Amino acid sequence: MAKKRTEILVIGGGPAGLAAAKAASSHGKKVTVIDENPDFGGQIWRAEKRVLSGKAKELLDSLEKNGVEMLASCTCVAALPDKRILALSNGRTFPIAYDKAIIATGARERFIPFPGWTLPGVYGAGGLQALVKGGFDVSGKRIVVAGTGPLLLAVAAYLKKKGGNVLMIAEQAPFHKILGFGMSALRIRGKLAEAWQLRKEIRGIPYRTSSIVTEAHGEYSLTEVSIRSSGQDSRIGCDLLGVGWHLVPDLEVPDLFGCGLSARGVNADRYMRTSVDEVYSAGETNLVGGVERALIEGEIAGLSAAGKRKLARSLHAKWDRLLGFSDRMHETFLSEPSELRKLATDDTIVCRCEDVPFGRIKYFECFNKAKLQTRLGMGSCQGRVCGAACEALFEWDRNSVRPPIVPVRVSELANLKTEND
Amino acid sequence: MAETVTFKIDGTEHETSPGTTVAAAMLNAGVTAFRTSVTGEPRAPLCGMGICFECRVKIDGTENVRSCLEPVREGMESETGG
Repeated sequence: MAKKRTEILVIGGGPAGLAAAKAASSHGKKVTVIDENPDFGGQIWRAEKRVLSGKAKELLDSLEKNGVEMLASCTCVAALPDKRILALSNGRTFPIAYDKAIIATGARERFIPFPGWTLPGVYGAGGLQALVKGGFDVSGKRIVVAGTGPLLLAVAAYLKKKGGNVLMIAEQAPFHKILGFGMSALRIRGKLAEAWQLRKEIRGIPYRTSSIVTEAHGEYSLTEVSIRSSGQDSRIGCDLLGVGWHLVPDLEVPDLFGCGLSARGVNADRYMRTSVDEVYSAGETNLVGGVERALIEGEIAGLSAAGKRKLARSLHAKWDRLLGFSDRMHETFLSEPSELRKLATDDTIVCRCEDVPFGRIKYFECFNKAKLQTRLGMGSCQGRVCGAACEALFEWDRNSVRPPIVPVRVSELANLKTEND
Repeated sequence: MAETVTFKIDGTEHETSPGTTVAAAMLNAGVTAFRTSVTGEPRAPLCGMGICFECRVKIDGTENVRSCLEPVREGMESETGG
């Protein structure tokens, strides 16, 4: 495949990536955006049956006008020397050369293992929503939405709208924390209307705080869940469970580039510069903090990469105001994981790719030692699911990544060698 | 755009609407086991966004394709059990 070259390469076409591409292309830069998904917009703007609308469409239209190159179903699998990446699309690899790169890979759900969580019928909360947007018909299905975070409300509202029979939202955080979070969110313009709308949409669905799903039951697929609500145990029959424990940043790509990372995400400065020269990072990759924040960070990153520092600086005040929201979100949700750590039993699978159970890894002192002895994190997902799970269960540091970060055929890697020669 | 797309799951023909992902279409068709885990457990989609690889199936002869990232195309053949 032909080699590609661009001035500004944006990795990830969600709100942050699209905003970055718009800002940079509006200042005359040649921009290329790649995204692993078949459509742009990221998780938050994932469209029903692939038809985008609203802000996402507006941004995409302006990118088209600015002549931005958009490569969907295209994954960054490795960072190569001389400011190039190795991209994978339709099973084929090819390098893309860039002057500056902006990483906007976003976030994913955090999963915490509990007995029965590998049964078909148990999904992530956002995961279930994504599948329904992709056409999964949940009308008439009995659904429990559980875990923690503001996402649960949006997911429950959406599933209800799609005809799902949402039996309950089980939120792990206690009521007083949710209340505090709600009050602080009201100080941000737009959040009040958003909250009011959501409240209307989820009317009739029981919202239980201090509640967790302790076990999923079923022989071949889900039939029942056990719920512990303020210390009281009960079982309810259901067809689907959507359970997610807030979000964690997607750090495989910044890790490939060698960017400095902290527990919260990429360490980027006020101009979204990472520790690596000419590499920027924006949005949830830096800190899980919502779409408004991602849009501003994207714009700052795009302007900085285009050399428009003064314009980037003019956005700092607005950016600072949204910073507090993320802090409060993290303080509210998953601030007390101790109870969750007790859910997994010795035979509960932690690594779903290699079927490594909790009992085999619990005595190790770190991820890598467990990995060497048990194959934890060595399957197809390369620790994307069990890595965050082990952080929550054992406070182990993240597993480091190795390219290629998604499975690539050996013949395709062999092609790369020929290209270098 | 055509109103329905015809595709196969394990050799049986199914219809779905355009824009549907392979994962969603398979769930609608009642598939519960997309793949079999290394210890023989049935597995199905978890994350819905290409992270977990639990929804991987064989599509048109290519193994280990994440069905949640793949829109159904006319005549496509997917196989479970990988």
